[in-house]
Amino acid sequence: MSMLEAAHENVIELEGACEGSLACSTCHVRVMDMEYYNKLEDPVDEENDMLDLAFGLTETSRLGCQIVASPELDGICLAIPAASRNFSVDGPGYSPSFQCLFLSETAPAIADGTMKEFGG
Amino acid sequence: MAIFGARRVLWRSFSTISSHPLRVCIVGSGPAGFYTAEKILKTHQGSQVDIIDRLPTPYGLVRSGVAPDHPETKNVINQFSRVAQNGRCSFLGNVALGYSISLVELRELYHVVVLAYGAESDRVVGIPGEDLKGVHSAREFVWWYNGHPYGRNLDPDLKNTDTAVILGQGNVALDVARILLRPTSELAITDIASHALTALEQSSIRKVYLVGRRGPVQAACTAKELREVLGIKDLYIHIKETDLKITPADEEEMKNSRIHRRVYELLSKAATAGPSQPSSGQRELHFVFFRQPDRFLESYDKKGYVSGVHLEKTTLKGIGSGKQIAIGTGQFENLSCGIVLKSIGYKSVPVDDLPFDNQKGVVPNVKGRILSDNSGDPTSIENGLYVCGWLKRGPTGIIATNLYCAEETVASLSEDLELGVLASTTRLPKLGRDGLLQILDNRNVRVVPFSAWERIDKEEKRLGSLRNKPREKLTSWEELLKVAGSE
Repeated sequence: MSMLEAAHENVIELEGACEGSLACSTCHVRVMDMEYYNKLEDPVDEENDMLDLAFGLTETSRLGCQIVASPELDGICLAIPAASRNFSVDGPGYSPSFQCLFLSETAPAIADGTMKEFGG
Repeated sequence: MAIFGARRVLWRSFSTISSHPLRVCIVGSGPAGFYTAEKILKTHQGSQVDIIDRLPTPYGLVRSGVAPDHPETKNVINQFSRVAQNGRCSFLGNVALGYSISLVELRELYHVVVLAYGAESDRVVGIPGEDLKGVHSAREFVWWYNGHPYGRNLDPDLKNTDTAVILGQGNVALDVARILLRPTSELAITDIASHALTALEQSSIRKVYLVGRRGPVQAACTAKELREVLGIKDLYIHIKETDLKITPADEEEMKNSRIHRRVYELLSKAATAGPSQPSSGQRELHFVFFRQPDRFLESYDKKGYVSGVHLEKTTLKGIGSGKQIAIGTGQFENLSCGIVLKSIGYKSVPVDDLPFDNQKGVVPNVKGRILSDNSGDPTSIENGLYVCGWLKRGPTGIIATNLYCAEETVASLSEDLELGVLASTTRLPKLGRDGLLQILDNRNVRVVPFSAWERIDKEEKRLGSLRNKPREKLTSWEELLKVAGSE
C-alpha cells in the first residue's frame, strides 16, 4: 500500500489528483528524517519530473503515491500539507503549514502528529 | 505500538449567517471552479454552491485541453465529479455569463460570485501576415483535436505541406507537435475527436519546427512532456549544438530552477544522442532557438495562404533579477512551411461590468478579491465578488496550481465572512439556484444539470467502446443537447 492510499484509508486529507499514476504532484510529502529518506528507493525519472512541479520542494521531498509501506519504514514521519492552511503569504510564493504523520509497523495506519509550520 | 486516531481537520462555521444558507455561484467548471467549490463546501457546512458553465459539458481544460494521449492527467475528473454529486452542489451547463444571465443578476441571486472562467482567447504575435490562411492559434487546434464544439470547424489543412512551424516551446506547443508526429495508430485508441484522427491519418506533415525566441535554458516546457516527445518512436530529433552554449547568466538561472536545469539536460542529451541525419521517410522534430517571428510570408501561387515565417535571430539580454529577454540582432532568415501554430499563450476575455487589466489579461484582484477598478488600489474592493484560476493569475501553471489558488481565494472569502465584510448581503436570504433556474426557464435556456452530463458521458463511452476508444466525444451543440435531454 502506498502512503497516498494509507492516507485516504485513514481519512487524512492528502490530495491525489491523478490517483497515483505519476501525472501530478499533489500528493507531495516531505520525509522528516534523512535516515528514513535514504531507506527509500531513488525516485525514477517520471517521479522526479513530477517533483519538479511540487510546491515547497525540499531535499527530502517525495510523492506519497510512490512510497510503499514496509516494515523497515516503521516510525517514518511524513510532513503533508495541512488541509486547513493558514494562507498567509508574506513573501513571494506559497508557505504551506504541514502536519506530521507517524506510521506504525503493524498497519500502514497513520498516527496523529503535531501541526508544524514549515516555511516555503 | 500505539496507533492514534486521525485528527479531525478544523474548519470554521459561520453561525452568524446560518439562519439562511450561504449561496455561492461559481462561473466556470474547470479545475479552478471545482477546487473552489470543493473548498467552500468543506469549509462552510451550510453553503449551497452552483457551478455554471457555458458548455453542456463540465471540467474545462481537463476535457478540452489535456491531450488525448494523457489520460492519467484526466483522472482528477473523478474527484470533481464527486464534488458535483454533493447534495449542496449543482452543476448547471449551457449557461453562459453575459448571454443567459448577467453578472449583475448573479450578484442579486447569490451572496457570493466567484469567476473562474479561465482564458478562451490568445495572445497575438502582432506581426504582418497573421491573418493568412494556415496560421492558427494552438488553442484552437487543441480544441479541434479534443472535440470542443467551437473547434470542430477549424478544418486545418494538413495535406498541402510536409512542414509545420510551431511558435513557442511550452507544454501546449509540445502537445501540438506530438499530436502531429505520433503514429496515428497510437492516437486511434485515445479519446481524440474522430474528425481530427481522420485528418491526421491523411496528413502529409513530416517535419515540425518548434521555434523559441530564447534559448534552451529558457524553454517553457517541463521535463515530462519533453521526455515524452523526445521518446516518440522512429522520430529524428534535431537540436543545434551551438544553441546549447550557456552563459554565466544562464547558469545562474539554472541554479535557481530545478525545472529549467532538468529541461536543459534533456535537450543537451538529445542533441548528441541520435544520428546526425534523418533516414529516408523518417519524421523530424527540430528545436529552433534564438529566433523571433518578424512576419508571416504569403505564398505566390496561393494568394492569401501562408508559405513560411520570416525569422529574426535574437540574442539574450539581462534585465535584472535573473531574467533575460530576447533582443533582435537584425539578421534574418526564412523558414518555409504550409501551416503555422501559434502557441505563445492564452488570454482571458473580459466580461461586461468588470474591470480588466488588458496588459496582464486578468481581472484586477488582491488574493482573489476583485477590485473595483484598474488603479491597483487594494482598498477599492467589489464586495462579494471573487476570482480564481487563470482569470486571477494569468494563463500559467498546471491543474494543481488551481488547488492552491482556490485555497487562497476561499481563505479571502472566509476571512471576509468572519470579519463581517459581507454582512450587508449575508444578512438577507438570496434566491440562489431556484431564482437562477426560474430566470433561465423564462428565457428558454436549456440548462444541462449534472445528471444530464452523465447521460452524455455514458453515451460517449458507449460510442467509444465500439471503436476501442475510452470515449467518442460528441462535438456538436445539437448532439450534446439531444443526448443530454434524452431519457
